[in-house]
Amino acid sequence: MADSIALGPDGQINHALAVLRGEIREGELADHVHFLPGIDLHADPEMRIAGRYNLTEGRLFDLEVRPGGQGSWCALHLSFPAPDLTGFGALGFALRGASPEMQILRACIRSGVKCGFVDCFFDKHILMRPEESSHVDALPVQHRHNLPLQAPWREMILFLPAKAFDLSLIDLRVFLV
Amino acid sequence: MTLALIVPVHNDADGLSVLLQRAAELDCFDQVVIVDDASDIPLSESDLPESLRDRSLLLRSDESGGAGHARNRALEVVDTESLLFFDSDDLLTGELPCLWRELQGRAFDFCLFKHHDSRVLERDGWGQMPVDNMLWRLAGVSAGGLRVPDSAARPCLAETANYPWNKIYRTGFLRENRLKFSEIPVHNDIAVHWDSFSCAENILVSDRVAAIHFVRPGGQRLTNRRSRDRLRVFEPLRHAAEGIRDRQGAQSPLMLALIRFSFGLMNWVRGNIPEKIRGEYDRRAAGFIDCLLDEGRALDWLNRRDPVLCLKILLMQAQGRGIA
Repeated sequence: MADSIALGPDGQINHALAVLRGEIREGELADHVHFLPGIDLHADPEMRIAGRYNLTEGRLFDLEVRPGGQGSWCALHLSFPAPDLTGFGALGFALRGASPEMQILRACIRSGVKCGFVDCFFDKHILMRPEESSHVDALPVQHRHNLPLQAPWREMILFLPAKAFDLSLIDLRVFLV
Repeated sequence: MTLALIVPVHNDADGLSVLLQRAAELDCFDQVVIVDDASDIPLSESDLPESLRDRSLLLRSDESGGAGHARNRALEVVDTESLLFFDSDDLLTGELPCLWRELQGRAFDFCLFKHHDSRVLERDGWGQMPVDNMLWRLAGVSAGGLRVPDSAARPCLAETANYPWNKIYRTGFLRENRLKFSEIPVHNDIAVHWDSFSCAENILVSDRVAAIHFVRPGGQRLTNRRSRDRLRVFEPLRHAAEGIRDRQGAQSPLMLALIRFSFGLMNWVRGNIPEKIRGEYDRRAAGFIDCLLDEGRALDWLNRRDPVLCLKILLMQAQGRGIA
């Protein structure tokens, strides 16, 4: 996936995810794991996150999270450089994944504003089950007060459980239409 | 490492064509061995995609010996280090080359991978049948990529559908242990499946869905056969039981898994044979249960491990002896 030729504001994030699907490496988890430019895992330092990640060809990653303490958050941050949503109707994603124990994830779009940021959560909870399953959700762009049409920066954030868990994130695609 | 695709075919040139086209696209096979099991119109080189011809071997049997015989023939001649047995009416997915690359440099006797069953698609789903999913979950390997299952997981995984095409085998493992498919009309794959689990030192599992299995009720697949051929189910089951008893013990976790599997299969077969042969079937089942229970010596053990199964299987045996 050397060429970044996908057009539109969702082209960057989808290109980064495509590159990640081609990566093969493994490593230790920490409060901050930089997978690729624009794809990072951040965890509450109080969680004292440990465990391993494994990037394998054709899927995003497998995580084995083993925290040493009690924290409040653990999330995958995906840079989503779409400063102007004017003229678009929906922003969404399709995800495939699995987890040996049932897990609930939440996704949001974080938009930069003058005094920090605002989070606009997707309505549906993402249920990860032992069997590989799909999840699709979308936000109507024009009708969400926590989703400003103009923002200097945005991220798509996938909130993971802030506890011990195993998760295989097989695929993720983002769309803005 | 090198990989072969082995496909027995009987009157399914169309299915084979689709499968081989897919195999050519995936570009992960160093050899393709096709065994034409007495098709009415013999297969020829022209039935193989051009891009695979230089690495293909086409064998022909003039008398049908069944899929087991065909697979055994291919196993004798294949010259790759690893192999995948496959059916002509199933399909490979794009996950297979990824899995194959992951296996490079890994030591394994066989690698079990997930499959998609067409019956799940009928319910708008993807993946394996619920019972197989449950077993993978119990084994603790339902997600998480390529891994070595712990010893407690093996019996769970052995209970999954005993297909040959959900495993990449090391050719040497099959040959060194003289593992063969049963050369009988149906259930040819039971013995090699259980022998694999009882012989293997190195098993790997992958949650990648690398094959699509099509089940068509009323079709020509062996699964749909309802004749007296089904009475021969006890041959591979007995072979599997004897193998486990010799290698792992008559009261081993793998034997318990085989008893569970056998009970389910025997019930299924009984419900799928004509009424007129049920009496004979029940008598054979009673004899086989003796073998499973090590002539009664394993009865206490089974009763302690799974009293409900123990009761059910004793009732089945009593039925075969005309007691129940």
